[in-house]
Amino acid sequence: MREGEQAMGEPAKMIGPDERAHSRDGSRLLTRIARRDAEALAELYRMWGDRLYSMALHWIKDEGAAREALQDCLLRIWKKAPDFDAEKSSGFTWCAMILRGLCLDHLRKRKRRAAVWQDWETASLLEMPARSGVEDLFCRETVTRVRAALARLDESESESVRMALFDPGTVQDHASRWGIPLGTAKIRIHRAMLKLREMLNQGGDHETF
Amino acid sequence: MKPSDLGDATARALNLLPPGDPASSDPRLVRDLRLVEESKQSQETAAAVWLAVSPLRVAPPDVLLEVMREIRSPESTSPVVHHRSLPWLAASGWAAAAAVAIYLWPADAPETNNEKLVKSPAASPADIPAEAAPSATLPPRDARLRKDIARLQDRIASFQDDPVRPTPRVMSLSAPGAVRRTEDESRQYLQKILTDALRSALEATSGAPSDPASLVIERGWLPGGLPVPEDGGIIRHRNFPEQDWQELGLSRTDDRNYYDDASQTVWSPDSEGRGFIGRKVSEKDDVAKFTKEPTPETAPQKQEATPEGFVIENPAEKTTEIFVEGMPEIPPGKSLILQTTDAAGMTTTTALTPSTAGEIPASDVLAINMNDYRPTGTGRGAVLSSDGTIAGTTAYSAYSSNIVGYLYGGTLTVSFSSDSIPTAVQLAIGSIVPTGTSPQIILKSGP
Repeated sequence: MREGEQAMGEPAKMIGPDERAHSRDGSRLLTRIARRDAEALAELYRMWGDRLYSMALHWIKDEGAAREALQDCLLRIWKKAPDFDAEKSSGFTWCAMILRGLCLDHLRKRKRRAAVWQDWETASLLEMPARSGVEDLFCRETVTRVRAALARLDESESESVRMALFDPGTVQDHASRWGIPLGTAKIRIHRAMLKLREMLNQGGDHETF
Repeated sequence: MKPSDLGDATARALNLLPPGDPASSDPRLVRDLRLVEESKQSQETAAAVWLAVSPLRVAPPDVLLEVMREIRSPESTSPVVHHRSLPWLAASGWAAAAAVAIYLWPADAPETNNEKLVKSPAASPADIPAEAAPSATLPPRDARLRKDIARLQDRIASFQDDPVRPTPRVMSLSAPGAVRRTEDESRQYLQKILTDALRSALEATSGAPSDPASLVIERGWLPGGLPVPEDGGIIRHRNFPEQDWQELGLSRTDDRNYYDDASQTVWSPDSEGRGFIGRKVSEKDDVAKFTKEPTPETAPQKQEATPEGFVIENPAEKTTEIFVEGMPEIPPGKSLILQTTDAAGMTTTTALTPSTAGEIPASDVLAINMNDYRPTGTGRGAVLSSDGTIAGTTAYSAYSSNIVGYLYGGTLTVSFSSDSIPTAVQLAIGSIVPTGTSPQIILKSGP
């Protein structure tokens, strides 16, 4: 991964001064993009392109579709950059959520077309990548924290997180699968995400993972 | 705060709400600070987990190019009106990176007037004529621009420490006795050159309203000055040749403003630190305050250009590229002599003779004419002899269809492909016929 970059849109408690500065850089780039500065978009691509592509590829498991998602994501960033609010989101998270929407669209279309939707496609998505491959050094700490945090979730919480983050279905679909009311499914997902967040923050506080 | 509200906030933040869910339009989710924070934290956590569980992969290199093409299309660009059209990179490959000048012109202007090259500051103004090579030999500007940007992107990417992509080896060429760059330093320097070139290309095509320059020049100068639009437009020079201001016939003020009488242009430092801004002189300007006499405290120290070069070898593609800045003039009757040695000890000597030997030709794009080479012997393994001749012969026949060389003022680029990658490279200026004088080695690799 390229030097001098910080990709994470992490909770504020989890990032140090240097990382926060890099996060601000992302916001500055988005501000420049909002002014129709194409060079800023190119810089953003060089900074986060690999990571965004990796995320799309990992989720939708199709190189062509991941490439298309990345391309559409950049175009949306270009068009929607004036809407970016640094008070509401870090730059990276804002971009990642755009990508998430595109990936969800792709997967939901694929799911509608599929005669049988294979739930196993999402089963391995929460597994941490092996350290023997290409490693994102700038996110090593985050990877470590996420690994530790996920390990602290119980089976039900882990399932809720996995479904919420990587299953293309809606919370209504999840509620049906779990056999619980829609409102209960929302709360279940919220609580699982909250616990995960707390675990991540604990990791950031102690830095012992 | 009810748990259901927080559940709604999380589900909405993660795009999990089913169609028609009331939470989709619940105004509290965007107004209540607690719920807004909940949404934000949910998204931050989701992004962190998603990133952490995704093995790192290299994004396809052409995505950015496609995006740039898309955002430049009429339906995608902002309604800001620009009087410029697509630029044209002055040359391809390394030449584009080194001697790049992006010249913008209205789309309906004649091509032959559109495309001019700007020479490197290392050469004197008289060396480079204003007109470029015939445009009939050039591909369309749009296609060429895309191609050049893609190539620059690829070049830059190849210099990243990317374990997936084979990294070219960079070998420094330095003048005898000069301080040699390390390989890392050479990579960084080359990457900067390429990044600058790409930045110029992207900037010129961005249509950024904050940068209304109609011409972005990376480096160089034209004998008659650089043309500035008459309609109040501006041009920008990223590497304004301040040190050469007297040689270029400019006058200046103590606060680093310059006046080019030839083109009636005033050059001032860009307040944002991006080089110099040039504009047509107006009635408000007091031209009399510019002087051609330097004051001791303000006169920049002129530094003699020392040639410096790099050899970029790509073993995967079996290509070698040589890039030299600050090339001295090739005296009449002399040739540039390239000598390479491969790992097996095989030495190959090639004479790179300008098409009009010994003279800077009447074209600012000097294609090195291999037909002028006259071998003095047979077989490979030639070396430069002490009397200035080439002992043996060159591998001209092996390279003749592969070597491509360009000389832009003081910038030389040579590229070729061969089965064996050189481990040592030397450039000299000498004669290919016996003269009794030793060739002058201008650059060499190694200690």
